[in-house]
Amino acid sequence: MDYSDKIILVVDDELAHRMLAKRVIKKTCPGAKILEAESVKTALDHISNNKLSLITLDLNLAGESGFDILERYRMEHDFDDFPVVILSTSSLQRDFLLGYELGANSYLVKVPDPDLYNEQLTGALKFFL
Amino acid sequence: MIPREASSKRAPSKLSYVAAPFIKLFSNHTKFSGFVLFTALLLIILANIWQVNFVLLSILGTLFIALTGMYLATLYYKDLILCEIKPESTEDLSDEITEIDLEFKETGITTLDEFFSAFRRRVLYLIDAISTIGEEAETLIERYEILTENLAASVVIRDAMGKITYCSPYTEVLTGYPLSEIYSSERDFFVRIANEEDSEKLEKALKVSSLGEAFQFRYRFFHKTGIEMWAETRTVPVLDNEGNVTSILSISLDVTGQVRYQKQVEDKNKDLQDFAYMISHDLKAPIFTIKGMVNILKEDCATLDDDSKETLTHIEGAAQRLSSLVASVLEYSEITSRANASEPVNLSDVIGDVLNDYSQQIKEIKAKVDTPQNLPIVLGDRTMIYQILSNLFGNALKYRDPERPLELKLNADLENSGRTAIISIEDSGMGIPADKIESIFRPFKRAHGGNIEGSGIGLACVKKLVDKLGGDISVESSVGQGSSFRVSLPAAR
Repeated sequence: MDYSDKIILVVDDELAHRMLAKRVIKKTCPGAKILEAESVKTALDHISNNKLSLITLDLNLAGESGFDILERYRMEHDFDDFPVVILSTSSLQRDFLLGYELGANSYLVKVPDPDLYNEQLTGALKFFL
Repeated sequence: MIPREASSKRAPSKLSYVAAPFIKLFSNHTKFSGFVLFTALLLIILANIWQVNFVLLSILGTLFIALTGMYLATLYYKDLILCEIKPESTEDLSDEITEIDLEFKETGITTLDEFFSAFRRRVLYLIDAISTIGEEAETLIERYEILTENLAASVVIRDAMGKITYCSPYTEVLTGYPLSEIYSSERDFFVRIANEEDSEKLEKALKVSSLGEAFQFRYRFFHKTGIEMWAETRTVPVLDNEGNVTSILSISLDVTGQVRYQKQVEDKNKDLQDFAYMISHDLKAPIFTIKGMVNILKEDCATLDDDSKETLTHIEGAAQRLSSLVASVLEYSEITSRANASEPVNLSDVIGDVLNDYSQQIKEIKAKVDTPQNLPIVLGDRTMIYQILSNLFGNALKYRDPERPLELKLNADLENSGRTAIISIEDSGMGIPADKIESIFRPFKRAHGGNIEGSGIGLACVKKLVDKLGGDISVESSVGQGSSFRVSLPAAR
């Protein structure tokens, strides 16, 4: 399958986490264009300037919250545009609930088991793209 | 204050009904008696003069004696009959006095002697009656006085206009102000010392009660020392027989300690939630990074020598331990904010699940497990009870004595007339050293460190879960013999 027309935005404040996500994306969706954002502002800029196919969204963004992106974007757009996959270390129920309430399409916990993590993210990418 | 029940007057005895007409006849018409007497005498004299036969004479004589006797009897009897109705209250008493007045008038007692003898009886009787009622009233008043004077609550009575007419002595303790100052305050004293944000509440309550409704609320006020305190106050209207508000009673309790404690608990819960959030987001992220990076190194660098590979394995192992530690700390902190159900839970079912989970391990180490058939039904959250029992079972398997086979005995009984279920789990394991037993239920306190893997949070979680279900946990143990855990939970009835 050809992914060259897909643009995927990886939002995470931690470089290493973006790196791990990018590795999985590159392997699963060869040819897709990957954008990166480490703050709410950069993420919103990317969202308005590109025709995105999918966003992977971290919730803890160095003092900011990934929920803000969901909230601000929801005010202006439909989420039918592109799916949002939350990628967070948090397994707190209130984070799950708030995430789905604000329009996320999927919530994946960053489990400290590389194989499981790869499998989960691969599954989500294949499902949404 | 409480509407008085109309006291039922005792019905006059039958005797008074029978005697009443005679009394009336003789007492109201003394002249009539005199007339009868005179006529009778005259008839006897005439009969003697006219030589009337003996039979007529006897009849007239008997009539005379009977009438005289009845007259004399009623004079005495009258007093007895008037005493028939015993007053039961002061109201009855005043009715009685009015009646006596009337009767004195009606009887037309003429001689002073008659009057005084009747009056003396009456007065003595009334004095007796009054003192009986008086004693009762005094006891009542005394009882209310003792109550209001010693109550650890401020009792305040305001009249219909809102003016304070009574203040119990405890009000001085509660507010720090002398009673004289409370009485003389121009503006309502309690509105004056209330926190400005809350004074409206108090004014509203007084208004509501002046319209006939009771009202209960909490408000802040300043003690004379300047310390802000919390009072729980109930204002109640006092109604007269027609239902009009005559005064407003308010009772205030000092709930400062309670409110502060509640706030502390809320703050603590908030802290715990923040803590859980921090663990979830900030502590877990670096572990994820380490694991992910080690994995990249392993995948990408085929050229790694054996030493480097071993180093990576150590890093991975450490990250793994840190990860489970973080997970258990998170689990521990989340118990507090977790909602728990309170439903009947069949212990036999839960034990069945636990044994099923550990069946493989039980088989492997050839442990002997003894559980009775019918265990009681307890009241609680099934998942939590499962966690408690699973943890205790897991510990027994983990801390077994390698020297001898493991024996596990579970039992459950009802205590406190069936209100409490006591579950005991006895093992023949390593046992807990005496100096460790005190701290065994506290987080990160482990009896056996070193070789055996563990986060030191398991029993702390168990204790927290048991507390949350309204139960209790204790342990008895001796090294080399084994441990016995005792969990009490509310029983379903």
